[in-house]
Amino acid sequence: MNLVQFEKASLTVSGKALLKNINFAMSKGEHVGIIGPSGAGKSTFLNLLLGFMLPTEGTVRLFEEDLSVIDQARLEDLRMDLGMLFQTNALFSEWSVYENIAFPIRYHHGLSEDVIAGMVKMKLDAVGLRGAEELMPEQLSGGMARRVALARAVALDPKFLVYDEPFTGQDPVTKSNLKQLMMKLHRQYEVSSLIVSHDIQDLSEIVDTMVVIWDGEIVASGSAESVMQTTNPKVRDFILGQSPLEQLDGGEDLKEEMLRSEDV
Amino acid sequence: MSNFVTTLVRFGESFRFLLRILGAFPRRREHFRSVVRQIYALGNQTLLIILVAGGFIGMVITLQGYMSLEQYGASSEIGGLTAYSIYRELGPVVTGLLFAGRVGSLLASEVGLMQINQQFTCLEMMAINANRLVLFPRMMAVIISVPVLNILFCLSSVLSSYLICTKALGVSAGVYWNSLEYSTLFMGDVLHGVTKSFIFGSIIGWVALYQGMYTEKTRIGLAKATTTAVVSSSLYILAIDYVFTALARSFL
Repeated sequence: MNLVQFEKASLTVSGKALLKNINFAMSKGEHVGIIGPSGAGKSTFLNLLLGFMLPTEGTVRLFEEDLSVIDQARLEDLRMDLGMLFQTNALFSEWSVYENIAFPIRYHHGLSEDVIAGMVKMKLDAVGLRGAEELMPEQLSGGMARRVALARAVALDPKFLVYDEPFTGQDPVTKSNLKQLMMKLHRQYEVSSLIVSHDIQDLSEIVDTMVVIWDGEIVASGSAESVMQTTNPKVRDFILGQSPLEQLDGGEDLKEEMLRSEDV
Repeated sequence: MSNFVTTLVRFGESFRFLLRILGAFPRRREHFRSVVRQIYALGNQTLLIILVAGGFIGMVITLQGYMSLEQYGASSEIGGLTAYSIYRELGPVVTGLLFAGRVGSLLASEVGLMQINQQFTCLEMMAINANRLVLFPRMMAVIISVPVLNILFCLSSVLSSYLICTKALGVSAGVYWNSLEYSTLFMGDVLHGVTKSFIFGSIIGWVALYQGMYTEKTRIGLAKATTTAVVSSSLYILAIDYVFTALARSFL
């Protein structure tokens, strides 16, 4: 069974092609990394996959269902099997760690508070944060906040985990711990995962397959080793860390956009 | 695109946004609870300022009105004059403006910050309809709170006016209430003001939530959205007040 399938999917907004003719499939049990420089189309790819945007051409299927034809209620059903770790963690700052993790469980399952408390404890144990229930998000370090976000991502026992830039802003030790934790969770919950990142080294330790997106197109895919040994000049430049800005179409616009987004 | 077309497009977008919020009618007990929680939170935040403002405005209107009426020997009509201006105009408009300043800015920044921190996407990813859980309760809370606060503003104004009249200006209690009762119509004055405040509440909620939801995702963008929410809703309140009053004059 394919968890995700893109068939000749393209997205054009205001005459600008953000994604071009994407063909991609991912099966149950797979761990796939999506890499590419900023502005290459990774976030757009993610938005299509999660049903936040629809392709202007081609189809995107999630759990074998065409996202262009299903209604909002069905999309919400499909999302019950998805967990997501956000780049910003997206923790609710006015709620404690306990409330952040308990919220989706309480909302979707009519369980007693004792059972919910037990489940929250289990999730926190799984990410190595036993006893952190009462802490507020502002009391957490960057690494701890990411682990709480991860505990919330697996709160509904998803089949498929999506990570958006999980290693951004983490120090090397935290990053290494996070990678170990991600691999442990993948085994423990038997989930498939799709990790979007711009760091090929970090991904190579976790994923089976890597897909390189460049200027809205998939330019390389395969095992981490094969991608790293590619002769494709664009991919080589990216791996070697050469600036992509000048090479991308509309580089000036992109620079401006990136500077703006850094202001947040 | 010309400015006019851009404005039209934005209006269309914001109208679709409003329909989306109103379409997210609560389905579960926690959605209804959320509406009640928001009414309590937002209404409470403005209650004191509304009561105090109402009290002072009632006193000022009474003093000004009394001086004018006295010249024509009609000072016994002070109760009616005060009630008329407060129920029909000052109550809904001042309540709307104060609410827009206090709660409109809060809503725009709260929703804007949630948007910047990806919390709406996070809710959607947890299979939770963010419109139903976050936006609808806030919209309803504003729509319900403003008319209720308007009524409290009017009560506070009339009470302070009564106290000034009877304790400082020497008007007897009977004369005051008699004038107020004879001059004030429930349909024509009280309901007129409450209907206006209902419309103002809808405008405040609509503008604030739209500005927050579509904020530019920067600190300056958020500050701009907050200011725009207050300035725009205040101007809309004043403009709609004129239109509503003119229409009411023509048809009622």
